[in-house]
This record gives sequence, structure tokens and C-alpha cells, in this order.
Amino acid sequence: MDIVTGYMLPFIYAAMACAGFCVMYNMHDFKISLAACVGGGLAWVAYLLCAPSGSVMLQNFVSAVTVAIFSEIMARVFKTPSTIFLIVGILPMVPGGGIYYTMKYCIEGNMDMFVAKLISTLGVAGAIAVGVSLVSSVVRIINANKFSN
Amino acid sequence: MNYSREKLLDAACKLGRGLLENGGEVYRVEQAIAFFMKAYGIENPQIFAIPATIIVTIPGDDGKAITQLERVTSISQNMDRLHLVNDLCRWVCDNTPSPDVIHKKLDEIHRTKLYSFVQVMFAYGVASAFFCYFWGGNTGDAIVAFIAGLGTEYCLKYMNRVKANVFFSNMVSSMVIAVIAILGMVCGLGNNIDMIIIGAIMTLVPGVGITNIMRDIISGDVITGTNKIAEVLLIAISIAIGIALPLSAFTNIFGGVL
Repeated sequence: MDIVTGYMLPFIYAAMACAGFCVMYNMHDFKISLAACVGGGLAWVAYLLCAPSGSVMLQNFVSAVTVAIFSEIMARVFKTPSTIFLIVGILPMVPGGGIYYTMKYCIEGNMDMFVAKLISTLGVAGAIAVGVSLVSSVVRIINANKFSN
Repeated sequence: MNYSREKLLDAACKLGRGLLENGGEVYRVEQAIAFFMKAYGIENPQIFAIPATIIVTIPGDDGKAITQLERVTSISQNMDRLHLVNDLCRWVCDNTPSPDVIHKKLDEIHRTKLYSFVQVMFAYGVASAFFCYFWGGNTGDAIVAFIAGLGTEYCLKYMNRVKANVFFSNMVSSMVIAVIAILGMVCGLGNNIDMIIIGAIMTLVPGVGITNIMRDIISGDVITGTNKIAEVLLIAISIAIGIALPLSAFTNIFGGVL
């Protein structure tokens, strides 16, 4: 796979889509928006890099962890809540395709594929959530111990 | 710095409300109010927050408990304001200003400019078009997705104005997406209806909710988590129904081929 079409273009598409969401979420600071968009792009590059593993869940998990760590770092850099970077960065992974295909198989009456797609969509959502909460739990444990000492 | 406890309680609740309304997490609200009370030397505050409500009880000036409840009806993602309120919370905890100053600063934050309707509509279009590219659509598909994105925001805005509920406004918006996608296919601009629709519904899919549910549950806010699960499922089902109706009507009643 060529580096440009394989990684660069998806990175740009993901980052531009995130830029649209930055406006929707009323982010006015250009630097913060830019960092959030880069986070979205990075998440997808991490996803693509894990493609050889062959497991969609693992791919989503790894990119969720990537974007969560990125947001915690950026939150420290810009002194702002990490949610800002997190909710934008997570967007490329959100299973919009999964919801659509689930619905499509349902109205086509293709029950096997419907159930398979439904379970895999729920699995993807779960993998993202576990990845994100893993990082934020660790960060909160570190913070709590830092303050108590 | 001897301020009346009732005024302090009110100021703390308004700060918490500012965080919650602009998309802050529940644990952040509880933490912020706890830090506030600690900074003003109020002992043993009882704080409870869920996405709809904040309840805070503290001992009053005469030793009797005083309670304030804030009902939050609408939560929107205003990251800029969240950032400002969060900064204000830190500043308040460091400087312990009078409650009037806090109210004045909060008012200033709530007067900060939001993006105009046209800008947001354009953003919906851009996000839809690039998500369409992202999922593998070509330029024709992206143009249709862009128009669908504009239609989505227009529809959401209109539904908000007529005070439609979440289920109905998402359903009608996704119907608009599906109709625009079908029209794009019929007039030959789009090549792949799947990509157009997926690109456009990405703006409706509750990604924020999906991400935050497990975080809430794992960090112990189980009520908040189950609350959001219900909301996310509701939105997902409304999108699915909204997309399915025009699609199946087109293929089954009008005999169209997609």
C-alpha cells in the first residue's frame, strides 16, 4: 500500500471531517481546534496501522487508546478539559457505517447479516469506550494519588 | 472573606450548571463544586449530579442545612464555553472572589459569541462531505453528502424551533438525508448511496454519548451511564427508522433500483 493513498489521504479526510465538528461544537480557538483535528487523524492512522491484526475490535481499541493519550497530553498543554480533544478525536471511529448497514440488512430481511452487523457494531462501540475509559481511569488514579501526597 | 453561605451555594451551583450545560462530564461538575467548597472553607458538602440535575447541600450560617437544586433541561456541546467555565472554576478556587463577581463572570461567558447558523450549516456540509470521502465515496458522492449535511442542520434547527423531541427531530433529519441521497442517485450525481448516507448520518450519530457512557459507568456514575445508554439507543433507533422509511418506500413502492 502506497503511503500517500494509504495513510496521508485518510489522515486528511479524517482531520477535515473533525474540523467540521469543531465548528459544530463551538470551538473558537484555532490552535485547540487544530490539535483536536490532528487527534482525529492520528486515531485513524493508528487504526490503519493495526489492520494486519485482522480484528476490528483490536483496531478500534488501539486507536481509542491512542486518541485518549493524545487528548490527555493536549489537555495538559492547553490547560483545558481533555473532553474537548476526546469527543472530536473519537469521531472517525464512531460506527456510523455499522448503524447504517445494520438498518439496511434489517429492511432487506437479511437476518443473518443483520444480527452479525448489530453485534459487531455494539462490539466496536464497546471497544472504543473501554479504550477511552482505560486511559482516563489510569490518569485519574495518578491524579488522585498526586493530590493526596 | 465572610460571604453568606446561601450566596456561595448559589454561585457554586451556577458554576456547576455552566459546566454541565456546555457538555462537561458529571464527575467534573461534582469535582468542581467540591473544590469550590474546599476553597471557601465549607466543611462536609454533599454533592450529587446527574445529567438532568445538580443537588448540593451544605451547612448554613446558622448551622441548619441548606440545599439548592439546579434542573438542567438542555445540554449542548459548547466546547469554548466549557473551556471558559472550567478556567473560571480554577480561578475561583485560587482567588475566592465574592459570589457577585462569579455571577458577573458567568454572565460574560454566556454572552460569548457562538458560530452563526450559516457557519454551522456549512460545517455540517463539510463534515458530511469528508466523512463520505473517508468511507470511500468519490467526488460526486461527496457533493451530494455536502448538500445532505446542509439539509440536516436546517432540519435540526427547524425542529428545535418548533420544540420537537429528540426522537422526532433525529428521525426527520435522517429522512431528509435519505431523500437527498436518493435524489442525488436519481439525477446521476452520486454513484454509491451507502457512502452518501453514511457520510451524512455521521453528524447525527451520538458519538459523544457512546464514548462517555462507559467512562461514566466505570468511574462509578452508574445512573448517568444508564441514562445515556437509553438516550443513545433512542437516537440510534430514530436514525435507523428515518433512513429506512424513504429507502424502502423508494425501492418497494416506486420500484426504484439503488
